[in-house]
Amino acid sequence: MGLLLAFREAFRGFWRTGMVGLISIATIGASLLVLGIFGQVVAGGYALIDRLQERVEVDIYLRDNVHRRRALVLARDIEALPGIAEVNYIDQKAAAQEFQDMFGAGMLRALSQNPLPESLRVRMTPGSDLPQRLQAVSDVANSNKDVESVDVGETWVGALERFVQVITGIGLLLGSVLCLACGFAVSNTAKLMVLAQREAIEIMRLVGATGSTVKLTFLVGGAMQGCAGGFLASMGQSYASDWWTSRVPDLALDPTIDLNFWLVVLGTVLGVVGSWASLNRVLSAVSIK
Amino acid sequence: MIELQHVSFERQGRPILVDVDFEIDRGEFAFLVGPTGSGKSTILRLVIFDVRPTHGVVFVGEYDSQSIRESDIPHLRRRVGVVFQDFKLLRDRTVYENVALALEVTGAKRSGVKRKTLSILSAVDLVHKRDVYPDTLSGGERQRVAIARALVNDPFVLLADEPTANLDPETTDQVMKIFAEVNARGTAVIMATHDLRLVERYGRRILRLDDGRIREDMGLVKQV
Repeated sequence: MGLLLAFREAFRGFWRTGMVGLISIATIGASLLVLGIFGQVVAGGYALIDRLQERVEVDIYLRDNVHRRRALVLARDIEALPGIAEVNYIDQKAAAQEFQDMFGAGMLRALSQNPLPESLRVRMTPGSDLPQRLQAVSDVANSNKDVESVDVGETWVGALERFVQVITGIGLLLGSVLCLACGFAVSNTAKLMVLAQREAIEIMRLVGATGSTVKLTFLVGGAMQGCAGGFLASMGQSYASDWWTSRVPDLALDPTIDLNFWLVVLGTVLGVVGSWASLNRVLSAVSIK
Repeated sequence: MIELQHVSFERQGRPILVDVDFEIDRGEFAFLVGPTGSGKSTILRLVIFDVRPTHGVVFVGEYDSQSIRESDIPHLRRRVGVVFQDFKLLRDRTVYENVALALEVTGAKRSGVKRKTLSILSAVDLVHKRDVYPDTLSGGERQRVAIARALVNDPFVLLADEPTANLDPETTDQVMKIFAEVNARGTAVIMATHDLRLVERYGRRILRLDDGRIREDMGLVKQV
């Protein structure tokens, strides 16, 4: 009965606050939407980095006439390093076939012999320490006298990771400010709800409502507002995500977490916290007269 | 059952009550009589522990103002019915909802709320108006709704603060009849009023207040 009463009174309180309640929900929704979009960019950015890191390869070009057995020894040494998905030995014939697949057979046919070197192609596993692992592969390869050169294509991955880190920092800062804004919006609405429900609170206390019963009403009210704001934000965020994906499908930001769910949860939590922050002070001002 | 022992109460340094000392027994009916500002309403607020005395002790049932915890006050208020001059009804709720609220806040079960609410509305002859809003009721009917709300939790005492001040003589009689019936069933009644003619007409114990002091405590006064 207590929770049922709290929900009913919360609905009444919300109804009485009218436009202010709606504006509060819209404020929470807008703040969480911005937060959600940043979350989507950050989480999607990290997911994108993971996908791109799976494609990171190191090509180790061997000197001419290195015996296959020595190349395989080097391959085993590299495979023993941490974070290596696989190491493939590309002989001259396979290299020529790849070249032909990419650029056509014309250029190779013009040459009297195959100039392409034998190589080891190293695929890395994704992870935040990828630059360090690439460096380790490069160090092992460069220290081997059979190696002509090493092509580590990590520059763009590092740049992308730095970009996402900056976005994360901005997102955290902005997120904190927006969370405060949400809490402030809810706390102000809770104050208005208390004032709008002043008479009801006075009478509830008069007939023996406990402090927790009265508070529960407003916490439920705050939770309802926050939840509604979170729901609005999740709808907006889904729309924004679909819009982005339809226009830039190659850079689809598919985060690994269910952002919509967490926006609703965050909205609800902020609603409760915002109400709680204003309740004690405002309720103490309401007395039986 | 209710006792004020040498109670004084000050607000912002101004004395509202000075050395008030009286006792109300179980099932008693007493009028607190005095002009506006004499401290009648403050005594009622002291009894529901809405305010605490500056000096002295207020005893209500098993509680007293010196040791009662904040968490005990709601439980005490469920056993003390209060009626005000301005009815204090919620305009956005029906008659039924206004009365039922007093049970709902106690965590009573829905079936019990319905049964007790309809029963008390029947006792004040308002069951047929259970679905209407207070604004559509007459003053007397509103006061009967307020009385029903005050009685729905079976209080051991009913406090009434100028309950007939806004009512015409005929309606006043109806309301007073209800108070008399409630009192006859064993509930103590303490009614604050400035209307001496009303007190004379109903002849009960009279505590005459003036300037925050009990000037006279007349036992059972003969009904005129």
